[in-house]
Amino acid sequence: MTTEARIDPLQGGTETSLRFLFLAVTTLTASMYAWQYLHFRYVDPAPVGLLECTQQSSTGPAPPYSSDLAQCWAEIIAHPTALTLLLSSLATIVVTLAAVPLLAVGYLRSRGIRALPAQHSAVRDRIDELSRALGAPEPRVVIEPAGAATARMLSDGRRPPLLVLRLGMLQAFRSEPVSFDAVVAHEFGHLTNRDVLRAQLAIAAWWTLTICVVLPYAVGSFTKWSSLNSAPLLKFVVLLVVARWLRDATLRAREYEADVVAARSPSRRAALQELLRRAVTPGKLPRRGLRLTHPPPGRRLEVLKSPGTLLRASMFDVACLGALAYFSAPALVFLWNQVFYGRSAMTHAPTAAAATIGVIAGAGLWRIAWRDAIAHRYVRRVPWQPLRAAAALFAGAVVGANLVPTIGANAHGFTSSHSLTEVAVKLLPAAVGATLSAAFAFGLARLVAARTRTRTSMLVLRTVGSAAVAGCCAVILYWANLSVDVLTTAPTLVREALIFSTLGTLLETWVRFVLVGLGVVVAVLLALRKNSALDRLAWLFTSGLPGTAEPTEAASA
Amino acid sequence: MDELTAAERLARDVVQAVAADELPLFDENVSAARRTGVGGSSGDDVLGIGIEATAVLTPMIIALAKVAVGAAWTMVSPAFAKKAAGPVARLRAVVRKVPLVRWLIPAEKDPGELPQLNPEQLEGIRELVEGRALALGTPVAKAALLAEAVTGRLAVAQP
Repeated sequence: MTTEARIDPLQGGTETSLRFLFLAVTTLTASMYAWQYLHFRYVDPAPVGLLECTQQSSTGPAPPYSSDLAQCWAEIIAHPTALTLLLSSLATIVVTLAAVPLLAVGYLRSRGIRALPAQHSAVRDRIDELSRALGAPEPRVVIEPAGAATARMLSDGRRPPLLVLRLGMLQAFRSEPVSFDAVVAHEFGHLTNRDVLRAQLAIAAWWTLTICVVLPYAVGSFTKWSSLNSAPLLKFVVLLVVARWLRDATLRAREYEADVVAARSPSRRAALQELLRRAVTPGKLPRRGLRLTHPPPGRRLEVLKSPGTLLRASMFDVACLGALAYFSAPALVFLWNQVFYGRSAMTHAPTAAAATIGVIAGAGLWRIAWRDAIAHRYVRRVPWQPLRAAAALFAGAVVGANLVPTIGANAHGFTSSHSLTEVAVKLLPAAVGATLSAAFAFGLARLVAARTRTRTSMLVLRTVGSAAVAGCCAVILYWANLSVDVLTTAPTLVREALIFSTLGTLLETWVRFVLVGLGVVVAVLLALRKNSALDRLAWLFTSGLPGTAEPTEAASA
Repeated sequence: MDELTAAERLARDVVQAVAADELPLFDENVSAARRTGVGGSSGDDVLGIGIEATAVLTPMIIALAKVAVGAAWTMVSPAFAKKAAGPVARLRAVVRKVPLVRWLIPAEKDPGELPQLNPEQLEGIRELVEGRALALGTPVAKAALLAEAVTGRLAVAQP
């Protein structure tokens, strides 16, 4: 197989490029929403059957929504417009999935990216040497016809990702070979730190938020047919902006880590510092901003000079990833709720595809955590701990179901009228998201403890971190006020007794407090237990950070 | 590659004068400039290094040469000036900002030869080129050097 063929995504990849996928889904979903809006507004303004099926019932205390899924679908099928929308939504998903490889081709061709010509075999050889020295996988090297002497990692949906050299790098290879090495080693740093996948997941989380939360609410705010029109749009726009900042902050933080990898060799360290020094324009303030994907050169220089400051950058990275996971999980739950509940299912079909991809992104995050844990020998023995895992999952479910009041409200109606299996299906993503959030907090505590390196401070910090997590859980549980609903789903009689009687109301209040207290105790116990399930999950956010034993170049060679 | 335009020939002369070691990659830089416009594709540099390994002058010189030749023809030919400011040229410029469709629409070519300029016009072009170089982030001393080199070659090339 020639090198040219190897970069052709049409050859079939082993891994779907989330970025392209989300771009396509977003575009097509937006088109669908626009079309639906115009259709309902001007062509068929009263899809009566659909509205009856999807709107909240005005009679009776419970369930708050129509629980007859079969009836909903019968209404949809009986209504020509609804059926058309449903089928076109499904077609959208199929077309989207089919368009992914074509989009990848379009991206590469529009930028003129092509395989490195054979005449530059010396460049290729040097890159191979560097990859062996740094213990990185052999990359697929391509050239981008742009003048600047820079490089970047790019995923076309296959592994390993593409190492994109711009034309100026060929010039740098001849005139400043050490600088060339420093730049390529920086990119290998991204490769060994699995930053390509991390970046894709961060981007995917942002797209998921766009599709699953902001877009439906934006449409709902302007249309009467949507059941989402009561939601305050501004809140979700703010959420989207914050998520974008978090995404870019994550990307910025990864640059510090890649610099550290590049600076393992003294010559490359000196070259990298010189390049950063050159990039600092005297008398000119560095560009700062929340939407930059790279930190200012001066700041990177400081971090390279004093690695202690890397801790702050790493913690910022941890915080941003955790926050993204925190925001993304409710988005997925919201979407799944819409689909499984039978409410506006057809209008959310393309969004369901995005949510499914989001779940795949979550699986990717777990995979990173697992492989990092193995690579760093953190997990020496992996005993099967069903009880502890179940406890963590349950705690995650309770927290996750309460992350956002909207989700909580939906969970209320859902748990009141659906079987335990359906509840489990709905709450599973919430459990995953909440567990990730908790792991992120533990990761922070562990990071600080690893830096201080004393047993007492580790114990204190771990305890403080655990207490902070437990406190957050307690506050969330208290305000969302839903733990009882999760617990009393199966025994219907108990639920009715709690909800529909005065005594039950009083009892419910006390039960809530007791449950919150129990939740706090369980969280603290889980946190204090060394090598606990949550502690291991913390690797999702802390792998490759200070305090961990990183492979040296000599060992790799 | 197609025949070089007047601006590209001017740029090649300037590169030969101020950065001769970059000549081997000149043709590829011209192709890149034709495809992506001034400075090449900056795009989104997620997971890039964010700094340059070396200061490459060729893309900048090509961009400045295009500015110089465009300005020269605008000064001497009202028809060229009208065409450059017309709706078609503007639409082309807007469309070529979109990465996915940029490669479908080739860049506008110059008339293929250099116009005759008087010293005042050459001085105007020098100031314009220097300003553009500064706007593209070039240090002051280097911007002046490049502007001088471009204008100097433009003056030498006069019939």
